Amino acid sequence: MSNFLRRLPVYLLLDCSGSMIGEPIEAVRQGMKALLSELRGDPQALETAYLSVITFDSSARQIIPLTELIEFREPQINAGGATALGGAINVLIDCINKEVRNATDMQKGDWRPLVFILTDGTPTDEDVFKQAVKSLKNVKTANIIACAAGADADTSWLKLITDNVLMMNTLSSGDMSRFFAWVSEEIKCSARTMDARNRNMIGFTPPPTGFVQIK
Amino acid sequence: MDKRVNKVSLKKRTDDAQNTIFLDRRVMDHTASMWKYKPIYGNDRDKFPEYRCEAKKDHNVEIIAASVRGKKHKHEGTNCDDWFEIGNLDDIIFMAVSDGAGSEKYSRIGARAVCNAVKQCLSSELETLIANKPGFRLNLSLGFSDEKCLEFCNVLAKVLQHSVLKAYEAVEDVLLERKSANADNSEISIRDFSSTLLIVVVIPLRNTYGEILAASFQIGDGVIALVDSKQDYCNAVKIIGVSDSGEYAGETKFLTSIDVKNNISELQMRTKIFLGRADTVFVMTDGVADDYFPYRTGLIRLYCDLVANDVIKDEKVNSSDDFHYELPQPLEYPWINDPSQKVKLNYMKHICDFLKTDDLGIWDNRQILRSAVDKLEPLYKAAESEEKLKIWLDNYIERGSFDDRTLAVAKLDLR
Repeated sequence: MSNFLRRLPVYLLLDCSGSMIGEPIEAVRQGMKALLSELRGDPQALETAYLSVITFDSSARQIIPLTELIEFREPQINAGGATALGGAINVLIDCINKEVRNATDMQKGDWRPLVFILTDGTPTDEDVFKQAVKSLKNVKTANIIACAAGADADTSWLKLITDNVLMMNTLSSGDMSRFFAWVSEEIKCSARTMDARNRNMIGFTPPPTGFVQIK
Repeated sequence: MDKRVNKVSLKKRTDDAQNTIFLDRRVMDHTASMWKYKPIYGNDRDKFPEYRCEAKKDHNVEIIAASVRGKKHKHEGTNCDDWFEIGNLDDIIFMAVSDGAGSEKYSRIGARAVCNAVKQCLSSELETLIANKPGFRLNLSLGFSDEKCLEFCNVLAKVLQHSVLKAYEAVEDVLLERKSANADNSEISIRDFSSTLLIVVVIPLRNTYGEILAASFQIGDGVIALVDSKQDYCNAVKIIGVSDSGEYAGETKFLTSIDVKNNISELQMRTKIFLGRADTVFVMTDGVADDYFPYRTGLIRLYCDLVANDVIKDEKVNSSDDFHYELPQPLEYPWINDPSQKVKLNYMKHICDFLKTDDLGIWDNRQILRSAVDKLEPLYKAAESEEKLKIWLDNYIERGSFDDRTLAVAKLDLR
């Protein structure tokens, strides 16, 4: 039954704080558009990938629940406020626990969720963040990639979340679109390598030019 | 409309599966034309055939098996990683299937090597076993409480386990051969040949109960199952292999990831013996099994899908000659290899949807599938059953299903 389809859950955590006002947030909107059209051209992604968007500014919320690509409508994204990254991780934890299916006798489990975090600053909810990172370790393992955007972004915080941290030097629309293009490649690539059955974690493709992988 | 239609009272479905079926079909209608066909790259000796199908027919058993390159591999121009081998000694049959790990370079070579080794070993050792144990069918009919029955089962289990060891050695052999053939290959390890292995041996007891003895061995995902088509819905399917799958999808074990040579208990744990009634035997890789999960009920749907597409015959369906029931037209999708050709197939999901019933409703009134068979293309119906199995495997559409598909089916006539 279709209730048992193995989905590839993809969560996008997008920073919508005040520093993103203007060109950056517009670039995120364009990036989302490009991402969708790219994924919709790939039959494997269309059949398996489900997309969710979580945004954070002074607080965090899931603005689009895990939705299949064909039904997905682009979200309205606006910038303003602080950087509640800790809150966003708590929302992510809730969503994964609620939405991602484990394998049971009666249903196939989903594939490991793929999480992309894009932020241009440091978390303003420091205590919440530290607690959230701890709780994240107890959640079903996900493949998490964090991207620090722009000169103000502090990668040391992101390193606490995941080993996969990228840095893009500018918040320009060019860099942003390269980021989203890379994200869609990652998603397509995951959809393709899903039967690499003895690999627990997927391997990532090299980051786009102008991006540095933080070791 | 035929009067007999009224005699069929279908159980109405109460679930909410309707919406998801509708949405899945929308997605599939959308992606159907997006899948591309690319021939397999390269021209080396490791190129695998795109299709394989084979049949073994004896007077009261029929084995058919087919393997098809999955949509994903067609789309990317890569090889099919599955292999199968089947064989029989009169009505005693065996089937082996293997699925090479998608991530490993020579996994398909491993898959072929293990199936061939199993076939070679079983062909000769089963013959010796039977020659040395006259009257074994009678002994087996006495059941597990009989000593001679148990003794035979023990010997059969050892033969099966021996074939697994032979399979492992065969992988070691190809590894050595590859290493010595090419200095560039010095880096390769047994892991590069990772594949699953599922084997079943079936002996009909030819007693009045229609019983069989089945011995199975399984490492990795996929399914080995028995169906008693005369049983009710809840008791018709028996899964006789242990599938290895982790908490998340896509985590499995392989023959080469277990040290079978030094781990007798692992071998024993994975050997299962079944004694009882069954008339259909399935062995399949996960490319098929995943589409019929959860298996206990899903394999009933598989059985009915095969009947509805005239791949296997069911007594109930084929005895009713002039039976007519109003069923939906088969669904038609383009053949990936040549989209100008459309392939019509019946789908249990589609039939259930049309009749507002479920698998149980169809199972209890299987004779209506006769009308589904009538709607298939005459040219398709005229083909040999292994050919139909191949076409069906190559063309049935299921959302998120684009792996290689291998299925071996044995139909036993136990009267």
